[in-house]
Amino acid sequence: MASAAAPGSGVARPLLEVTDLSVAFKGHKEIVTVVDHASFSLRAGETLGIVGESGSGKTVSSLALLGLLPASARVTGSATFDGRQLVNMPARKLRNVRGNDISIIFQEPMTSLDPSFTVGNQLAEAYRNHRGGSKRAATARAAEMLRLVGIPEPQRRLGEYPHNFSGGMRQRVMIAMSLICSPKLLIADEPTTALDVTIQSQILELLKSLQAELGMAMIFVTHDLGVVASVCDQVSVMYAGQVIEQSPIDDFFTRPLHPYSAGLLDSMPQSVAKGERLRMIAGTVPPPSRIPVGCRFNPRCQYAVEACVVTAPDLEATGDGREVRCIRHAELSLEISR
Amino acid sequence: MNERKDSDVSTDPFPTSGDERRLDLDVELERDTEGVWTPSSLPSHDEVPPHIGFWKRFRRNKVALVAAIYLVLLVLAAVFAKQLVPQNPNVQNLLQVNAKPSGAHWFGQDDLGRDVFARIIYGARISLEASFLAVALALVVALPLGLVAGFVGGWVDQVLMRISDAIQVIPALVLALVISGILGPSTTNVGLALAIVFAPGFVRLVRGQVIGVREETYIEASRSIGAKPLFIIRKRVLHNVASPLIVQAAVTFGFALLAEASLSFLGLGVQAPDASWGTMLSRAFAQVYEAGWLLWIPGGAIAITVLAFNLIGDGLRDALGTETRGA
Amino acid sequence: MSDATEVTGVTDGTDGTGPSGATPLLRVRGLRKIFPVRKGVLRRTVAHVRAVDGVDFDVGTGEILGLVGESGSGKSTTGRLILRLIEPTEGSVELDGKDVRALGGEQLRKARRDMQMVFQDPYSSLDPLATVADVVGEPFQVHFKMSRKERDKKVVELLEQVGLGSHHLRRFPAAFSGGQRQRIAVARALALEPKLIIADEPVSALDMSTQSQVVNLLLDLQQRLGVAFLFIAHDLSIVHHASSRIAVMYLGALVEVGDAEEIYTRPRHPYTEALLSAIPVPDPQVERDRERIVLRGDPPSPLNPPSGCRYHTRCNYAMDICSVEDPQPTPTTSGGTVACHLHTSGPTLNGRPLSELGSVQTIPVRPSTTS
Repeated sequence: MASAAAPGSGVARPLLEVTDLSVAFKGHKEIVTVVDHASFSLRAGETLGIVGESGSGKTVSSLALLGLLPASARVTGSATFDGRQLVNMPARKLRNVRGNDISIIFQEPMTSLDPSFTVGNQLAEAYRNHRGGSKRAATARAAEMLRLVGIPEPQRRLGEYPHNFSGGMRQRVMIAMSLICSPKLLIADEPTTALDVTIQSQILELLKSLQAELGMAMIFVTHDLGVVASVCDQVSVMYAGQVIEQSPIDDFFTRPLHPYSAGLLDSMPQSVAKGERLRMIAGTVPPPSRIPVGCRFNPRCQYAVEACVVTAPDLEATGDGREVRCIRHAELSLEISR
Repeated sequence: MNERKDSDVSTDPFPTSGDERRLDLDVELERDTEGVWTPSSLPSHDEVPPHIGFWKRFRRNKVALVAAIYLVLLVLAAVFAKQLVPQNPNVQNLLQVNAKPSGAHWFGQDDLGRDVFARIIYGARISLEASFLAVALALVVALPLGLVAGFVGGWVDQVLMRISDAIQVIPALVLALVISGILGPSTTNVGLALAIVFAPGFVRLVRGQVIGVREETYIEASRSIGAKPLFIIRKRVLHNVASPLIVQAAVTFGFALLAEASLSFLGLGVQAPDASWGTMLSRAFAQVYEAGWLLWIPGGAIAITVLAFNLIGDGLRDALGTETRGA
Repeated sequence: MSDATEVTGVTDGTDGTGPSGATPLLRVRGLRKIFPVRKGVLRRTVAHVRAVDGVDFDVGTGEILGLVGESGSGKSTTGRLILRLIEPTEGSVELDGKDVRALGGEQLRKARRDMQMVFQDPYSSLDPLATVADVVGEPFQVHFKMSRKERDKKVVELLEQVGLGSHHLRRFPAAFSGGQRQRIAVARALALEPKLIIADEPVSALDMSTQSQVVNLLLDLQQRLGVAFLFIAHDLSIVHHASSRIAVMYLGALVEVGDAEEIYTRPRHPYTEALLSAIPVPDPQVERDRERIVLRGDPPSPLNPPSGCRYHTRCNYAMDICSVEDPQPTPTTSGGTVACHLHTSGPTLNGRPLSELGSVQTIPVRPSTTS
């Protein structure tokens, strides 16, 4: 099933390589850039977490990969997936990739399912769109997928409508649908944010075990650092449209490189003793129309110096497989005590 | 889908906090929780109040702007008719019957030799008066009823809605015809009849809006503070209902003008010798073989003015950013 | 289901939080809300949702009590029942010894001064067409005769208390970020100097870097002004941090109440344990090592709660008795209460039930936070 993810091939060439991806929207007067030269890469079978607050551009960049942005968006840069260029790929070809090689699941499972068709119908349709074949074969495949995602009595539930499913079950259906064509990459956009914690942990466990079983790569778009720690191998932190750090998670959670990453980790209740004031990052994320000059984080950064206000730092590789966008990263040591 | 809002950013110019001066670094380190780039993020939730920047948005719609200018001029002309028009609209000149437009009589003269331009201007006065009366009266009645129906709900709501159903099943013009027939022909009665016809629509609109607003958390917040229902309606509900109501009123105004003309055409409106656009049309209709062009003048005035009201309604809708919910 | 409300030694301040013995600020007993489900043209009642089904707890003066539960647990309804934004079906709510439920219209309006609410979504809890001065000044308008000038002065003071400048006075909510809006909402709640603020998920709609700002603000206010909070949330880690005691709610009933640290480190109820285990910890090492308790299935519908202990359908320790008999709240050795048969009818060691063995039944769900 996971034939493309041949062992060994991943080291040489990443499955997905995104370089300088930018997304701009045309506004009334000016052009607003919401993703600015984002770069990240992902090997087969690996999980990348894209972390950021609302307005950081994390969702837009993942949607841009699949050409799911409105027509007013201008996407530039490069995103090579399995040797194919996704940016500005003709819509017809892209539709072939979407749902077949790359799948996406969204935050709100209810709105992603059509309420007027049975779940079985929608699953089978999703399969036949890409793979063709008989209706019966597709339905059999649909039942198999429902079983795979842990829905009891899959045969019976195929005939039911989305409203018969609870929130957690619907998200399972969505996962089944996104995996029905055995994609090489699954993009999960806040897949558990709308769910309760006990259901969230079910879904996270499910995704982890499915990944182990099917060998696909995942991009996890989330704002929850706990979720990142529990499912990801790599993490890209986005702030105000830019990737500001990319690290393997173990390094990230013990020794973040960027002051913003450190600020996020530090502001979790776990990092101070009970009853103490939580640590916090002052201020709020700037909207795309009010991006600060120099480093975008400088107005909120407690380590900012004169130079941070003047020069916009580049994303630099640090040599140990990590990247950071901060001119002071070498002198700062931002250990997280916990 | 957090980022969809990003695309909207440019449409909503962010008011700044006034904090944009750059602080020096020492201060920066001690700065309190309020950031330098304060008013920020999440414009998707943001409802900028419709009256902020209203003019700027309304002006962008050139067609509505032209319509508004036309209406302002028309109203001014109607109000200052005496100063504006030297001719008396009711003075007959039987020597110049059905005369074509000329320098002295811009729109010509009618079947009794009266100056058509003067009659159009004076007629505008009566037509607008009747329409204004209809819309204003309907609003005065409908607003409190709609607020009560929406806010109180229950049987009050049921009763009010059934009454408005009963009124609304009868075609508007037929109803207006019957009512003004009963009340007797006069401008005021036409206005009254139309008010009765329009009121249920307004009640429904207001009620629908109120029901939408009633579920908002800020209403619950007001209740939790201990605010009385009347306070909540006055301070929290009313202004949130206003925008769609204004739009609806503008469009209804156009319809009222048309209905007034129809009723006058049928002889139920203003009585001779005074003219409204409807009676003028009716008179011209009788002369259609002798002076067909006479039809075009009141007809054109009615058409253009009704159109203007509708265009303004559209412009307001865009500028106030209202979609009519639940109406 | 008769009156299962008068229960032995429920959840009182014997746990070392604040001066015990005195009457608590808020005393909730047997609180119940049953919503009828109506269908059809005749609006006939076809079923009942037991949204809140017999809840007892106290909030001490100046205390922060965390109320935790998942969606559908009835935690938000509980908050609204206390304020009587929703009328309770049964039970009593006493504030400072006065029965809130007995109050009539005008008295209730006055009583609401002492209890205020902060809502989850700061985007919908502020009237988009009212200025900050109007929003924060609303309580003054409602309760006092005050000139606009006086009101504005008060509003500026309140804004300062929540860390906002006076230049915001004439702005509309649209000009503010989520965190700032929540500050405005808090300022409004503070206006009448309430003794208790019910905060319904006050940070869950906020971005992560602003969440801690708002939590800190609430902690500051509690310390500076001595306001008590009922902190309703689904996130146990934030609740643990902010509150001195925690009450855990499942399907309309409290399953466990007790000292925050106890509950966080030594949960007594299997549901609390599962809830704790489900929270992902921001530490990959811990995440890899720990054994996560994954609950079976979904929470049952409150339309049709399971018989006996309502948690037994998902419980890993369910015994025969659990599906038959509803467990009653039992005092724990640490001064809280837990409603679970494991502590009364469960296995005994040496003739003593587990509950008496103190902290024996600990499950390492997370590393100690104090290292």
